[in-house]
Amino acid sequence: MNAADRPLPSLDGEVDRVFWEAAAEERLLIQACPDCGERQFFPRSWCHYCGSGDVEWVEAAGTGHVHAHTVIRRATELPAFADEIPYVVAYVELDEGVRMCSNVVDCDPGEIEHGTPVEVTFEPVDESLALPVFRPR
Amino acid sequence: MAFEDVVVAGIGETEKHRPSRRNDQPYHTLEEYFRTAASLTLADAGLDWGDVDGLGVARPSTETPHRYPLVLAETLGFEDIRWLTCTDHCGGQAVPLLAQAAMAVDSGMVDSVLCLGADTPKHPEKGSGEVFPRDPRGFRRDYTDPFGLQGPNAQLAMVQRRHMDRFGTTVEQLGELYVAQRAGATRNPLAYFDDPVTVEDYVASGVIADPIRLFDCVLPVNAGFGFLLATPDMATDLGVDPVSIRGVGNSHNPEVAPRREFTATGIGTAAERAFGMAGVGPADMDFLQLYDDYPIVELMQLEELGYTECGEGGEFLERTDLTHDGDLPVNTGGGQLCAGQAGIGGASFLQVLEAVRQLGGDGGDRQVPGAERGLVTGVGAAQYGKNLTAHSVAVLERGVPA
Repeated sequence: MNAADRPLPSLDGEVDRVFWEAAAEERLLIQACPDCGERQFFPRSWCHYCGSGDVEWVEAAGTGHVHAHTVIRRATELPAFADEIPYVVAYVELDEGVRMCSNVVDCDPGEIEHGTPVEVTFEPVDESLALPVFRPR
Repeated sequence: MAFEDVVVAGIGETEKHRPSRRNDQPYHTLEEYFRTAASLTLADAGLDWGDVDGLGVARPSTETPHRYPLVLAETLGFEDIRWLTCTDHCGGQAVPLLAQAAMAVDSGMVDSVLCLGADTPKHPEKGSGEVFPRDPRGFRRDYTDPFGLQGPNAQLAMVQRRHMDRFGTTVEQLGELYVAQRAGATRNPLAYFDDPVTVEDYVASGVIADPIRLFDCVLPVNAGFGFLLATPDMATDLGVDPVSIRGVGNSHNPEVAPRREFTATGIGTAAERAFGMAGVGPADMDFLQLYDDYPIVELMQLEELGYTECGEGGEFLERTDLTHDGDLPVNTGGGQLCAGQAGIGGASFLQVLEAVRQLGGDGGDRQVPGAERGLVTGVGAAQYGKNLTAHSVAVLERGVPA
């Protein structure tokens, strides 16, 4: 796939820049709230459990399991992915408890099922961007 | 609380079109569908053009200017609107629009509210498929699009796959529901599809996002819909068959955490509120008009509304006749899967209108025998790490409020 066609994150907010800059350095960040102890993803500048503005970044271990997944067979809404078909899109539940939308790569799509253990790997898109994706472990 | 001073006094629904370069179906603008829907609804109630006291507009997904309800009121030619509202509740929005308008009439603020929904997802020059503008900010742009999550098809495919893996639900079982609705569509002159299909046809319709097939995906059409709410006195003066709104209930973003089982929604909570207000329960319904963007979404609703146990929905579909004169009539006119869904703007209007039609005895070849009371649902808004997050339910009943 041509990187220019891929829908890229907007990096509009400060929290988005922090997350994606860390991903480019192969670090997977999630957020933890010091006030209520909850963890969250996707990132925001507040805790959506208790409303606290003191949310902190923590580095995830990068391991988890597939909570739900699909094998994309037709690029109906994002045509830039047509050349990648078939590919796996999944919600991965990290060991820290948050759920993350990503891809499961380096596998036969037919072998993935809910509960499949996975670990993070980083797929470079260009010099400043890498996607945190997962592979079976 | 109860809605004692409001009824549904008229409905209107346009023909469905899917214009493309490959056919000669007509292309009408969004405003033309709104105009036709308004005209049909007012005529059904016996009102003249312009006899509009209040106006409710469901926001279309086709690009519109901001202040659109005001623009539409002026474009259509409605003078001195005393109460104007707009919903933006994703697919289920006709149901909360019904509730909002009912509150306005029941409170005495206005004597009537004309509610309209229309959309034009199909354009002959812009290709096929519904084109939503890309979100300017937010999780979709930053955290799902970069991984190629192909919209609702992929999101609901994940839900269906998990339901199948956990409970043994099969594609063929979901096909039974589709086939029953398709049979309803053959009896509905306003449905886009008018030919029956088999479970084999459904299974062979082509995988989009495994296990979601082409026939699982809601059918985008250009169309417009309307319903008129009025006081019972006004309905009597007009000489129409009224339908009362016994209960309404909502649950939006039912849980902050994405811990909820991915195959669960909040429709049960919304329904509890609607049934509580109505003083009736699931067993008292003569039919269900369930929001249907995918058969799996209907199956989840059947489970959470209490018509079958959680996880047993597949088997339930297999053993239950869901057609208009069967055990539990569901989406008797074909639903959005087979009659067509007019984008987000017209979404779930089909459910409201088919319920009113059935309760008025106007179901024609698909009339549910002895229909006195029915359930209408509207759902939508799949969000990050979660299933659908917008849920609205209404219980409708034949006649004026008791």
